[in-house]
Amino acid sequence: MLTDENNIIKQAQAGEAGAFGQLYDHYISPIYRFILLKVGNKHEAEDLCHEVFLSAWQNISGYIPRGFPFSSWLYQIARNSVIDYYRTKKNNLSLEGLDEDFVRVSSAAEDNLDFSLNIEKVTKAIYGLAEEQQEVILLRFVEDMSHKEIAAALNKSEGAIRLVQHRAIKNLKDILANNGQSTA
Amino acid sequence: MDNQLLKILKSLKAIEPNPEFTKRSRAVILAASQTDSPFENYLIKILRPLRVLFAPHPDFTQKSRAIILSTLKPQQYLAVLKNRLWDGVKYSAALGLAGLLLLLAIGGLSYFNIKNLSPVILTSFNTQKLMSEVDSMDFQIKLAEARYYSQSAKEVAVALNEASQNSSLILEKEINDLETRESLDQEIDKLLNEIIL
Repeated sequence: MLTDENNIIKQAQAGEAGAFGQLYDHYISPIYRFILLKVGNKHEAEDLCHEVFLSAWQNISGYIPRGFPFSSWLYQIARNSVIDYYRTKKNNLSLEGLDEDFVRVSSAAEDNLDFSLNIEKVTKAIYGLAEEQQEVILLRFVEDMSHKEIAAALNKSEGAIRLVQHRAIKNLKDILANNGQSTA
Repeated sequence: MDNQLLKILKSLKAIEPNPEFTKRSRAVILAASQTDSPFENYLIKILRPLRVLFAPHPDFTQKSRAIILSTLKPQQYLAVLKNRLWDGVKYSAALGLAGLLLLLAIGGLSYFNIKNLSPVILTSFNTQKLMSEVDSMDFQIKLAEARYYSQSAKEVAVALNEASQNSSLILEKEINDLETRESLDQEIDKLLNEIIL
């Protein structure tokens, strides 16, 4: 969360582009990552990310702070954009639709090779999860958001988020075990 | 017998866990969900670097930011449209007023026979009168010019005739005048020399 975020939001709602620019600079990376990890394609992620922030800027006057970070609202917009994207593509993202270049994490050094391979395997395994479980895993373990923040972003209760996380981790373990991935 | 059984069962409702146990157990459970299991620690270790690996490209960020911040919001579109319409109305009104004032100044309203409104009434705006004036003006000018040219031509012809006939007489007279003047000049020169010397 930005320092003095509520004041910045008020300034942005008053029409100050500079204030929204601060929000953009702070949240562009996590929103981009969230979208990228859901659609698996950099160009599509850039387009969707741009649409998310454009929509946020044009509709910020309707935003009402409810004690959650501004990111929660952005994640809601991002989720809806990705859902619309899936609707256009007529199917959810599956491993077949994944951009191979996206999951291939190159590593120059040999000692990082195992780590790179682990990233690839885990990332692919995440795409084997249900959409909601994917989102909880990404927000919890990549963006380090609290259950409360995730609940606000996904419009669910905190308890529901904990339950989804529990199931997601179980499924992820099963997928990795089936693929021969060691979790030691 | 049934009543006793019911009483015993009801008394079981009063059984509560030890508050101390509840407190400790609750804390442990909640702490366990906060501190991650080994698999969760593994996930954190593997997935957290994605924050750096999957950062947006700076070129994209710069362009996207500039486009978004230069975009007008729907309320701003309306405000700009209103301002432009108002400016258009003001400009049109100013042009219209200027045109009307010009028309009044040159007496254009007399065309409509609104004499009281026009400060200067020109008859020339009446097309019929204008045509008759023009016709008569041209005719008179042409006549005057024609008379002038014919008169001057006659005088020139007479002068030329006289000159040709009397040219020898005129020349002799001029020569005589010139000789007289020369003799007078010589006498004046003699007198001046006597005075000086």
